[in-house]
Amino acid sequence: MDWTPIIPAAELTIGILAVIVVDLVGRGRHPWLTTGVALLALAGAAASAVLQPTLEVTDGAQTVLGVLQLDQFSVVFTVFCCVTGFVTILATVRGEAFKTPGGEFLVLILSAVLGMNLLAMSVDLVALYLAFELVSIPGYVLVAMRRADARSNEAGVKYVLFGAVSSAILLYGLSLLVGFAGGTSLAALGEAVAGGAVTTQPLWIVACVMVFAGFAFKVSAVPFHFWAPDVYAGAPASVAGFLAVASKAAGFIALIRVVGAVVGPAVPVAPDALTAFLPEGGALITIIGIAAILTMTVGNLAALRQTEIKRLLAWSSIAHAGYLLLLLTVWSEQAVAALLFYLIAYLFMNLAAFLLAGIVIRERGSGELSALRGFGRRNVGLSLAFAIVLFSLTGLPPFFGFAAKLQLFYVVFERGYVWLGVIGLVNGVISLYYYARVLSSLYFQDGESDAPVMRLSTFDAVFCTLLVVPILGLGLFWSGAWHWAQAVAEDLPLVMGVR
Amino acid sequence: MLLAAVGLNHYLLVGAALFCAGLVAVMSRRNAVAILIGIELMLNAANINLVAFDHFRAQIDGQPVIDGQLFVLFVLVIAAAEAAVALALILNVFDTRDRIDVDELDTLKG
Repeated sequence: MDWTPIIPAAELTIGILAVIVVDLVGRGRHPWLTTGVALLALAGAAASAVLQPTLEVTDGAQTVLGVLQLDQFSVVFTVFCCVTGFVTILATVRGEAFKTPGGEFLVLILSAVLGMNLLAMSVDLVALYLAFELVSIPGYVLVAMRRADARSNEAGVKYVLFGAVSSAILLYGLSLLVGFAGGTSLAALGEAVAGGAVTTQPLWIVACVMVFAGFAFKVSAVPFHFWAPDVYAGAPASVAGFLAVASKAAGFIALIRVVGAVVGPAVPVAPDALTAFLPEGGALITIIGIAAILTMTVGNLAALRQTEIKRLLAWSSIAHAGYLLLLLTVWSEQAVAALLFYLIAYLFMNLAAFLLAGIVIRERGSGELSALRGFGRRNVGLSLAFAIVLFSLTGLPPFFGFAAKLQLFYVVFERGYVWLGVIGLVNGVISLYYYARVLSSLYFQDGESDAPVMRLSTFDAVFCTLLVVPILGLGLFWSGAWHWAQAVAEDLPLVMGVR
Repeated sequence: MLLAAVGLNHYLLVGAALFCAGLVAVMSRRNAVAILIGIELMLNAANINLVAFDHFRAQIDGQPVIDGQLFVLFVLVIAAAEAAVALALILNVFDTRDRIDVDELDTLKG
C-alpha cells in the first residue's frame, strides 16, 4: 500500500492539531504564532502535492484503498484550495471582522481545505460525500463566527439549514446512484451507465435531479442560490471570499468527477449548430444545461439592482457559476481545460474583489455603493486595483478574466452549441452594467469634498498588489497557463476513475 | 411466507415516503428545530435505501455486501456533526431573540 497520495492531507491534519495545541498552550496570547503554523501547514501541503510523483505508476494513477486517487486533477485542486486558504487567512489578519484571527478560525479554514483536498481525490461516493460535508460544516461555523453580530448569526442559521437540507437531498440521490451502480465506486457507476439499462429508468432522472440539487447548492446555481447573497452579506468579507471561491470550487470538483463517470469522455458535437440547443448527453447534462442558463440570467439580472458591494459580488459569483456550468454542459476534454482555466481566473478575481471590499468596509464601516463615492480621489492605488478586478470580472481585455471567458466561449461555440454561447455572451454584456456602476461610484460621483486622503498600510498595499498582479500578468501572457490546463485535462480518463 | 413477498421496491417506497415526510416538514415548519428533525428524516430515508440495496445485492451475489452499510455508518456520524453545529448556531440566535422562527430571520433580504 502506497500512502504518498495522502501526504498533503496528513500535513493539513497535523497543522490542525498543531494550531489547537499552540493555541491552548499559549492561551490564545500568541495569535501570530498560530497563524504562522496554519500558513506553514497550507504551504507545506501545497508544496508536497506539487512534488508528488504522479506519473511513475504504470497504470496512470495511484489509489489509497480504492477510494482516494492521486492524479493531475487532484494535485491542481489541492494547490488551488491551499492557495485560497492561505489568502483568506492573510486577508483576515487585516480584515474588517477580527483584530486577529483566533485559533478556531484557523482550524475551521484548515478543515475546509482538508475537505477539499480529499474531495479532489475522491473516486468513491462515500469518500465524496464525507469530504463534501467536511467542506460544508466548517463553512457554517465560519459564517456565524462573529457571535455578537445579529446579521452574522442570521446568515449562519440560514446557511446551515439550507446546507443541511441540500446535503440530505444529495445523499438521497447518491443512495439511488449506489443502487443503480451496485457499489459505491465511481468506476462501478460509470460501468453501470455504459451498460445502458440504467439511464432509461424514470428513477434515474430523479437520482440525477437530486444529486445535481446537492451540488447546485454548493456552487450556488439557480434555483438553489437563495442562501448566497444573505450569507455573503452576513459573513466577514474574507470568509465570503473563501466561500465564494473554495466552496464553489468544491462543488465543481465533485460535479466534474460525477459527470465524468456518468457521461463518459464527451457529449456529442451539435449536429446542426443553429437548431441544437442542449447537448444530448442524458438526463444529467440536460439538467445542468437548464441550470446553467437560469443561473447566468438570474444572477446577472438580480445583480443589477444591488446597492451593497458584498451582495453585488454575491450575485456576480452566482452568474459566474452559470458560466462554469455552461462548460459542464458541453462536457469534453477541452471543456474541462477551460473550466480549470476559468476557475483559476475566478480564484484571483473573486478573492481580490472580496478582499478589496473588506478593506473598503473596514474603512467606511459600510458596504453600500454610496459609501464608495469619491474613493478614486481618496486612494488612487486601491481604486485602481478595484477597477482592474472589476474589468477582469466583466471579461474585458487585457485582464485574466478576458482570457478565461475567451476560452470558455470558444469551447462552447466550437462544440456547436451556438445558442448557449449567445445566451452567455448577452449575459456578459449585462454584467458590464453593474460592474460599471461600482466603478462610477468610485470615480465619477463626488463624496464628501473634505474627505481626507486614505492611506493603506504596507501590508494591505503589498497584499493587494500580489492579488492584482496575476490578473494583469496572466491576462497578458495566458498561453502558458492555458497549455498547462489542457495538459491537466488530458488526464481526463483518470478524472473519471474508470481505467 | 409473507416476509418473502417483501421486495426491494417496498423498502424503496418506505424510503421515499420518509423522504417526502421530511421534505414536507422542512418546507412547512417555521421552527428551526422542527426543520432539523425533518432533515434527519430525509437522511434516514437515504439510509433505508442504502441498507436495502445492500441486502438485495447480497442475495444476488450470494455473499455479504457491506458497501452501503458502511456508508450508512458514516452518514450517522455526519448527521450528528451537522445537527450539533446547527443546534449551536440556532442557540446563538435564540440567545439574542428568544425565538427561533425562521420567518423572523429577515434582516438580510435575499
